[in-house]
Amino acid sequence: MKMLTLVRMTLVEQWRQKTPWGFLAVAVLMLLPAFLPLQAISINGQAAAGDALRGGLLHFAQFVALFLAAALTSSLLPAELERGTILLLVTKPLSRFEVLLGKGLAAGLWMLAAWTCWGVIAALALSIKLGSSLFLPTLFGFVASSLVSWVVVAFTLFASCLAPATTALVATVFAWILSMAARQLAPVAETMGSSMNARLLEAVSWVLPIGWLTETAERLSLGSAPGGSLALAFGLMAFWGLAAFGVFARRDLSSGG
Amino acid sequence: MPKPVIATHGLGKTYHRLWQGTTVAVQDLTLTVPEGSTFGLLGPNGAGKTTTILMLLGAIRPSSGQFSLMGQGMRDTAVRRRIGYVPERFQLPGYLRAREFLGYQGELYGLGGEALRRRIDEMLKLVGLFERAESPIATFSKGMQQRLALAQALLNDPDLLILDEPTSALDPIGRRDVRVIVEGLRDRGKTVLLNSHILSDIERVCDRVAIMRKGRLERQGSIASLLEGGISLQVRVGGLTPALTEALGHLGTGLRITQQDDIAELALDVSDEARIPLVAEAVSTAGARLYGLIPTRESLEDLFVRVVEEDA
Repeated sequence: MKMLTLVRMTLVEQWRQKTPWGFLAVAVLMLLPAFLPLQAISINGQAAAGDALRGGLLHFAQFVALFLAAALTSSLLPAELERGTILLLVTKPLSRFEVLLGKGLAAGLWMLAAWTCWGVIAALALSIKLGSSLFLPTLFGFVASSLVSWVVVAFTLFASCLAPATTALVATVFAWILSMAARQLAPVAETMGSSMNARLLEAVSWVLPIGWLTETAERLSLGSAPGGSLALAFGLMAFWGLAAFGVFARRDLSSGG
Repeated sequence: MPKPVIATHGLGKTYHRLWQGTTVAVQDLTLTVPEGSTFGLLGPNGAGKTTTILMLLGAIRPSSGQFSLMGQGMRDTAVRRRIGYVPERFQLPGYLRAREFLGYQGELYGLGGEALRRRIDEMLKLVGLFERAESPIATFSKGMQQRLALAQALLNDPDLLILDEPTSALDPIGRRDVRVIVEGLRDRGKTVLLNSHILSDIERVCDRVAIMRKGRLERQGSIASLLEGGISLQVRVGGLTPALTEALGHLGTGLRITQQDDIAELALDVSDEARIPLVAEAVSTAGARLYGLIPTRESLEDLFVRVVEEDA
């Protein structure tokens, strides 16, 4: 009950601090296909154009939206620390686990709502242009993509337990780029005969594997995601969530950051 | 002796920072705050008062020692249901209205429904913000935010109220209001731990104090017992003789004499009130003329300055 209050008030905070404007910008991107001359990019017929457009949309929108997820989450705890209001939270009959879970759940719910809205908008835009058969797969793909954002939320929450908001956001983006680069470089190292470096790069690629998570979300939208991928995504989320709790539970908190 | 609401034993906090080295914020603090007392925590900046409070509230992990709050151990979060706290530095969320903020804080205490709504109204009236209940906190002055912070700390009708510099942003009227609130709580048998630099406030509302310096506890006890004894006497005498000077030297310590024409101004410290008539008698016996005899007790401020400057 107390934790739900914290979730609700964190959602209210984001709402009143104009966070929806950032999400609205993404929604505008989703609407673009309804006004684009799709024939111009159609090579092998309408279906191919639809697939290409949908794939492009998923990719582009997900990257923008994942950045927004990191930006939103990175300020949740640091804002309380900077205001000194974290002391009003941790001195109430709430455990630190509840405080952290409340903040994480709020960010997760916010992202779920945002992805659902974007999904509806994108699905409508594509349906208008390419036929209603694309509505449900596109919507489902976007909703499933919120799973990707939850992993980002958990990682950013972990980073924000260690550092101020801006640093946490930069660290998240850095981890994201590092993971992507490592993923690209691992096969190169393998072909160059350095299997140890390849294994190291493979491990680094799992710190925040946005590319893999995005692919999982896309496969989910096509109804072909294996259960193992979902479990792995939840595992990653739990790992970073627990790491965040490990740091937050031991952290000394005082007013003014 | 009432049971202790706060009891610490050998409590300490040491910070190990990579670039700044080791800082001892609090060391070996053994403190007892009895139930129903209004306890003042004093000390210069950096004495470790706020760190002590934050350790008691679970915001900072002690490096050593232990403590109990209302008989409960350090890890018990449920005991916080009975505690109210006003932090030293804060900026309340400006996007909320005053009533919303109190509703939020009340729900975190586990309160709700009509009882919470009534309690919010009571608290807003108590701190003089009822007319601003629907105003966004962003429009509040620092003093108004401090009043609102006090209101949230009182929402749960706490058995223990911890106030960390609660009047730092308040005008004299606001300070008086906080004093009245604390006195009201004291009269209802609640325990108050008050950290303030305003010694006159502490002296007026607290019955016990602890003085900390450089992370250590220097004095602890009732204000009466800490201030008992030392009385300074100012004596104006005409016709001062060497015999009288010697007699006064035996009655007290630290005799200082300033001669102005025929009248001498003397100052000396005596151990108790019983010495005051003896001083008057000594003047009379020596045939001198007594123009004035003014006893001055040591104030809390005098004691504080003396303790803080002892080793300086």
